[in-house]
Amino acid sequence: MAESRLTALPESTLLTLADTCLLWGHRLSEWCGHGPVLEEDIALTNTALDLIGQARALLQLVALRRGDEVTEDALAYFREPEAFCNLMMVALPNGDYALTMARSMLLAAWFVPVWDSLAQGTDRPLANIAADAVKESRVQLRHASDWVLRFGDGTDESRRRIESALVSLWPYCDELLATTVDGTDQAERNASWRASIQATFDAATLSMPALPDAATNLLTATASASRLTLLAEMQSLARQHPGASW
Amino acid sequence: MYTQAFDIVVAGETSPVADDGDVQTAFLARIARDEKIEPQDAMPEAYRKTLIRQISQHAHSEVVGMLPEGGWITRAPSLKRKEILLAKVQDEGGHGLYLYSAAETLGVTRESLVEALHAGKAKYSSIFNYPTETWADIGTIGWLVDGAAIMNQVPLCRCSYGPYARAMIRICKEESFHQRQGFDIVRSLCEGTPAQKAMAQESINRWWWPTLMMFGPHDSDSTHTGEATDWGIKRISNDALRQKFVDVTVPQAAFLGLTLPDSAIMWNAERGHYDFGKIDWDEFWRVVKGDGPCNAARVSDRVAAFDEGRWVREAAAAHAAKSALSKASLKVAA
Repeated sequence: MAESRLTALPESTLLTLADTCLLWGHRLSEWCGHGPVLEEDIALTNTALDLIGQARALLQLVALRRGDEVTEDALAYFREPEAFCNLMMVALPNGDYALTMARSMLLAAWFVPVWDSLAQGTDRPLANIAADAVKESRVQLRHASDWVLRFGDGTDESRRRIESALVSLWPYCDELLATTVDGTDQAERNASWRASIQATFDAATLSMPALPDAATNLLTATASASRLTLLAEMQSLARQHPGASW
Repeated sequence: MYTQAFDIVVAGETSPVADDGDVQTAFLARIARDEKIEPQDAMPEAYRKTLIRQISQHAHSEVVGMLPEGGWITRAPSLKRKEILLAKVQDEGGHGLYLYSAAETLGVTRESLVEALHAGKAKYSSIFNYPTETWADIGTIGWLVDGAAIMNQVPLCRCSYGPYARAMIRICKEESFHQRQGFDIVRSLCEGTPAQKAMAQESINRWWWPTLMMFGPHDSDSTHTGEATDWGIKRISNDALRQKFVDVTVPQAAFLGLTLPDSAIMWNAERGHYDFGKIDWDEFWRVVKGDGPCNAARVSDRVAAFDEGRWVREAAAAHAAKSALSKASLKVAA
């Protein structure tokens, strides 16, 4: 017990990962029944399931370490929006399929090196979660990168849409790269992210937009407003029946 | 999920006509020997058309059926329930794929079937034209609607057409999980707060009668039951399946402490079955013909997803064509 306390990573790290997975899983689940083709509907639902599964495992770990009868659902449904630690990008509305696939690629390329490092870390319960999650993120990265390639190389319309998606998401990458995840090497992670994205951009003959110096207040406000709407929906029923079991 | 009385034909719509001759005789002999008919086998045109209509109605029902439950994924009240519901709705998409594939073995394309759905020419289970107003509806759909679907579908695992029968074996396994998770949602509501139990009761009140309608018209009014039975497609009649469903469900409702909204439900010792009240067939046909609470919204949601996804499919096709051309050029160069 003493050893696990010594090696446990800070709760803020766990919540950053958990909340990012939860909100991104929520956004992908909104596609369920509305995908561009049945096979993609099923694939996106699979990814949403992976992400919500990862969020659950992490929130259960946070709850266990907090004690005091805290549960995964208390953390997901009864925390106030400002207490969520997600990356801003995941809260944005889905937009079209290009925006969804571009975002999926940018996030998965970030998660793969994060999970890879954590899987080899000394926080063993977290390492076990990461060892499973990294396999799922690799699948997500391959799936999304394939679509970015198709859009870049497909039709004039798909190219216009993927370029527009990347331009609108790019400012949020600054936060992605600046976010510290304890137990991982930020420089290595970012190098891996860039290499992965660059390979897809090259194959799709897309140019990588320049990274802005910093996220503007406007971006933060947009993402916060989106998170507020998302959580209002996600938490609505649970909050109508506080204390109920489902 | 799904299905209602398979192969619903609305009065005035065309129905396949059985053809005569050697094909018919040899075919019926194979059916009598309980042999499976496979895609490459000779079959009467009427059998083929009936199967296309039935399997595609079933496939459409699975895909349209994703909508009423899908609307609650983002509001599921616990993470566990959210995961289960996502997996369930995903299964329905998978069932749609198996079934479209089974239909394609009969010489039609998925595109043409989907086009017929979007044009309002193809039917799907009318149960999905009712709204999901509360979380309890997710439990009720699993318990009652999927429960009714299983009653309909298990006999189809022995259907004479091989690809359909094999698809149904897998589908039924997953439906069984769906039914259990639905019952578990309703059970948790009934064991919960008074407000949760009231939510469950209100939901059962709305869904009971539409669920009974899923088995289709009475046998006396079911024009195609004879043919479908002769061809080994339909094994048990609508009324027999409906009775079986009522007999199974009445004790389950009693166990949960819920009341079914039919004062005529009573055990009939002489028949060895529960008696139950009269179904409002006017409502059934109204919904089948397009005038249910959500008919327009369901089709419009499917059409919107299809239309908004057109550029995605076109991009994938264009990229695939370019890749194929590039591979072919490399081969030539080599």
